[in-house]
Amino acid sequence: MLLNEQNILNALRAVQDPDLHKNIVELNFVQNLKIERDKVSLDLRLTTPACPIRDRFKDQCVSIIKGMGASEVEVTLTSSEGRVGDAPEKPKVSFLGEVAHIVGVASGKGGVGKSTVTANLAMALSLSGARVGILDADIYGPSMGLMFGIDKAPQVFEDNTVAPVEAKGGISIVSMCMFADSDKATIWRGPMASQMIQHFLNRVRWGKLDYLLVDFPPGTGDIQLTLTQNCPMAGAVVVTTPQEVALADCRKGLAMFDSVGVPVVGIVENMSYFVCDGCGKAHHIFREGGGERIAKSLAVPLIAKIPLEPAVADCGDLGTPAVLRHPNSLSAKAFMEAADQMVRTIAVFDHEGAGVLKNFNYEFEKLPEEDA
Amino acid sequence: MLQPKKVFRTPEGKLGFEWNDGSRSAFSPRQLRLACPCALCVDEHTGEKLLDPSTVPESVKVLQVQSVGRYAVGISFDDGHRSGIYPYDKLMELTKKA
Repeated sequence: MLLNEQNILNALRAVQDPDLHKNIVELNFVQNLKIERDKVSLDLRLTTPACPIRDRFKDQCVSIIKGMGASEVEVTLTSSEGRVGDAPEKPKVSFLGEVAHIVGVASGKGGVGKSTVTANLAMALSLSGARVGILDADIYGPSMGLMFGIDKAPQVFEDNTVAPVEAKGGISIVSMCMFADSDKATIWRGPMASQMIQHFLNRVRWGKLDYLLVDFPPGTGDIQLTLTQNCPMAGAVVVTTPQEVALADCRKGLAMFDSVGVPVVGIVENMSYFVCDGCGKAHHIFREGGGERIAKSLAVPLIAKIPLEPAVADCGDLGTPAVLRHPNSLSAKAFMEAADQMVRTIAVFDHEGAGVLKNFNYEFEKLPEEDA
Repeated sequence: MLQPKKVFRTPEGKLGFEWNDGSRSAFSPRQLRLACPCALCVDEHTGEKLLDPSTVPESVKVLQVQSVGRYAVGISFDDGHRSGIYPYDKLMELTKKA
């Protein structure tokens, strides 16, 4: 049979995808078909690089085309996400290099006030003279826009990079809320969410920063892993509330950082107690001492106990972090102390980690030669 | 926390690490390729090894070594395989086994 594009494509219609119940030509998997006398090459573009039957596809194509008289058949497997077997390509530009310390703020459980803590720690750091940025990585429920009262969209440059929005206190912020309609839900599967996060990490022109706080989404999953794999974190702060349900998840958060080699700066216990404006007494609404217990059992310092204060709670909704709006409140003081301790602890980590390689990408051939 | 202070290659073509605990390890590219923990080489659920050692050429080479967060390196090989992420403590285990 004559080896031309039409004949080959017709013959390849015999190859069925058992899951999609269509043949590979119909599915548009066959790409880049080249015929040079009796040598044929083509790409099979699969929907996922981990397609379990990709080798069967390849073998079938080869035997069919050889059956038509080709002497050599080359089938390259690709996927819509790149070449099969390729890890996602890191973009060449990344602006994280100018950031001195990246600190993750995470919690195992949602609703413990992680974003409030991030906003206030950032403000406290900024008030003490540091250049600070916030990456709101909670793509499903971004709240930094609200916490800082941001209504601007970030500037997008021609090369698809983004300038962060400068918010109160000179803090540079990038949040998913700046790119999505606030009333629409972000409904994404893991790979898309991870890709968005990588975009955030690598395409934002942070400029020179002393601290970049990354507000993690709650839990220990895909996005959290992408974050820890794609940026060299100097440390992490884990936020919890005093009750046992939160502490159980807090342990998981701590374990996650441990397994990815990120040292934990400390635990922040939020909603620790409520000071009654009538009697002035501290009421431990969610039990007492949970933060201390977990800190002690896991040998991680408890760096702050933030009280519940209605005036402070308002701050988040009104768009000015409590540290700026009510600097003399108990919460603000606790946040300032926590920020202080964070700075000191990270300096210690820096010192301990002196001489350790943090972020590298070597070509094997260019490595220095040494004896084992 | 185990972290590398230096990455080097040996005259025999091994990939070497100097660790922050003062110890050193060196691995042949093939040894690393065979120990690849990625989902294409090891079944994610059963831990069963999916990689057939006979498909890995004796002469397989390391092309690129890059950090993954603060706990691992990603290694790309000249057989086109680059999805393996090798945590530092796994590399240390591999050193002790050898």
